[in-house]
Amino acid sequence: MNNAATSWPKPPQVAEAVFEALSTMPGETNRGGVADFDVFEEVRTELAGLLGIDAPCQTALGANSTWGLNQAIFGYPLKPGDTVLTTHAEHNAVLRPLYMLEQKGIQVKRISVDETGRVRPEDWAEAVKIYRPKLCILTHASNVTGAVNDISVLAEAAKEAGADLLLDVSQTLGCIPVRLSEWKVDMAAFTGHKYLLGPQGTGGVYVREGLHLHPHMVGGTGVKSDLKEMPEEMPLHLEAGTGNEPSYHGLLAALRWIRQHPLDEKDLQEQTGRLSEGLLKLGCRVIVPDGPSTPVLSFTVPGISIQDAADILTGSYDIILRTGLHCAPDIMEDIGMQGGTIRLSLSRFTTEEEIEQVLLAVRDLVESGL
Amino acid sequence: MKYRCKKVENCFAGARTYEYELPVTGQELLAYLKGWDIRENHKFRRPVFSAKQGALEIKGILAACVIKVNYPAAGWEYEKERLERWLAETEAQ
Repeated sequence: MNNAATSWPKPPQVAEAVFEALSTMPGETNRGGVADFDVFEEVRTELAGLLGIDAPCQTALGANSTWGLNQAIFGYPLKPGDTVLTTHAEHNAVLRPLYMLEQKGIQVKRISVDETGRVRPEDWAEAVKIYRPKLCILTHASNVTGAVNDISVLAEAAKEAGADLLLDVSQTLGCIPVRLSEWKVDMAAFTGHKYLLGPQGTGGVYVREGLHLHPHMVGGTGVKSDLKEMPEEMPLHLEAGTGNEPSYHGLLAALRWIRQHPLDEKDLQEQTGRLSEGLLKLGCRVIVPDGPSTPVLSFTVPGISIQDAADILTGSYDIILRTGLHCAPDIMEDIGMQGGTIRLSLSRFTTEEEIEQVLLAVRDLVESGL
Repeated sequence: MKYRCKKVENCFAGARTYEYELPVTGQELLAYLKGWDIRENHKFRRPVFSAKQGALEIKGILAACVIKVNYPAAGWEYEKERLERWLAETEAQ
């Protein structure tokens, strides 16, 4: 029930691929040629379909979404006086780089979200008109409430105002459709260890053709070693140092498995709905987004502190969940949960029995008289 | 008694929560906590307890050897030192 942090279980092929990669000669030994198997290239090709892009080489691979967001935020050509527009629903992987940019004279405007964590399109449209940002940064879905933003509408408004858009798809890639080219998204950061079902230590950033980022990290690329700067072509431009090859073998196995086993979105939504309905019936306060959402829900148990409730659910019932601010502190006031929430996040592997167990445990909690 | 202590990493603002692994279970620990306000709750699959003395509150599973302490904001370092000194000076039976 903590899949929005790191999905588990994974398809068995993922661990097998990591083991196999560590048990055999590293790929870089051969350095190209027709016989060489480039796991990063294979991953890029698999990802292109999921991201909804045509050019796999426009995706740079690194350690996680935070790596990708840092590459995009610090690499984007901003100068003092420029404005960045973002929202209260963002993760600290966006917020903290922006606090650093503010110290360098970049104006950062943050708009509130509705009581379910979703960006109001009218607020967004008004903000891009008023602030005229050079860059907009937005999450596809809240990691706290699961509310999915209507990116086609929000991206169009940003484009009309002349802004570029950086989208955080950490919570959605592998879970709901992502169509970066169709939405005209300029950059997008993603991670491999959530709904892509891959290992931790995988993730990256897509950058549209024609948009030039200044590399946030520089170093060896294994090719063009005579250059004093990073090679201009993507993805080399943003990929310095040795990649996490074993984990990327695991991610590749996960991506192939996902392609062969399409997610039943409707079933997952129904399961999430059953869980939220059950919690509501027990008297819990649950954030239930109206409209599209990921299988994530936040709740509190009236009269019981979040920490006490979570300690009992985990300690007494072995329910693995997440409590607190979920690295998204700005959203809490907007959703009326200033002290944080208890978050449950399902995956395609969550069973009916597990949902029933959660509801029985919460029922015990509600009836405990704590 | 010997203990192993580790901070609990969580996402709450200003969290000061620590876990202690003890050589005794929560149930056995309660015998040492004379004068503390002790509460047990047996309605859960694994029953729990809490023990309070002043600003200090210990919580845990009765059958487990790990307790959790969420130190108060005011004087938390003093309270942590006080509890750890008490644990160190208490002889496990």
